[in-house]
Amino acid sequence: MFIPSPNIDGVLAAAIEADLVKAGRTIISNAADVWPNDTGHYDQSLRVKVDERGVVVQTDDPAGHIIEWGSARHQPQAPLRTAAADAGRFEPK
Amino acid sequence: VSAELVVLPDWLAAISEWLRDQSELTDLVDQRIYTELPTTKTFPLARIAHITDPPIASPTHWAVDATFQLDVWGGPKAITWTIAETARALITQRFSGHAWELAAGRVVAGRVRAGGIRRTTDSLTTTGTDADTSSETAGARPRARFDFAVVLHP
Repeated sequence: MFIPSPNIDGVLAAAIEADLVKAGRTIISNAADVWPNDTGHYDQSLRVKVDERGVVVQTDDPAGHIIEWGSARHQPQAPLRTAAADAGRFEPK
Repeated sequence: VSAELVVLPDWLAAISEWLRDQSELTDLVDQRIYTELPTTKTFPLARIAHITDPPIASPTHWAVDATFQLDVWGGPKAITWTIAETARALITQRFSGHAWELAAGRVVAGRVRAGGIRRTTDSLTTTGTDADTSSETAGARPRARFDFAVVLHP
């Protein structure tokens, strides 16, 4: 008899974690490529993390949110979203 | 060799023009939907940015999955959110699934996926004119933003 797993989301997340980390590294590489590296250290601030959110790609740069989302004085440069779209299908959340 | 060179329209020009054509939005923000914020600002206002547009079936150069970001600066917080939500509703419910003849070219909008609206207050002061009172104000502006992806082709 088939018994549905009550924690199927957790089972699936664990099963694909290694592939998601690999995809995250591709996004980091793409983001570093689209961002100019002659100033600052943005490319070195990019991380793939596995935590309670799942597998995530993020920047530790203090100006990372302005680089990604812009401000009233800056256009959004969006290196992470551009890199995610280049690596596959980007879905806004 | 293909006889016809396919050059895609300027998606940003097209969608900003389309937004400025929607009465529900212009009732709230007039024509102040920009791709670059002007030096002299009247609030509330909105800015749309084009993030990227990778082809969906490379090497066929015809359809793209384009990502945009819309920012709104207020205005009271409530008006700021209402403008962002009205734009999101228009893009997801009216823009999607139709062909549009625009000055920027003919644009066919496919499936739209919109993200959540983030509401923040700027950490910097911006000077501008309040559209309702016509008085000059300076302060940290409420901001509402969301991004969305849409399949587009000529």
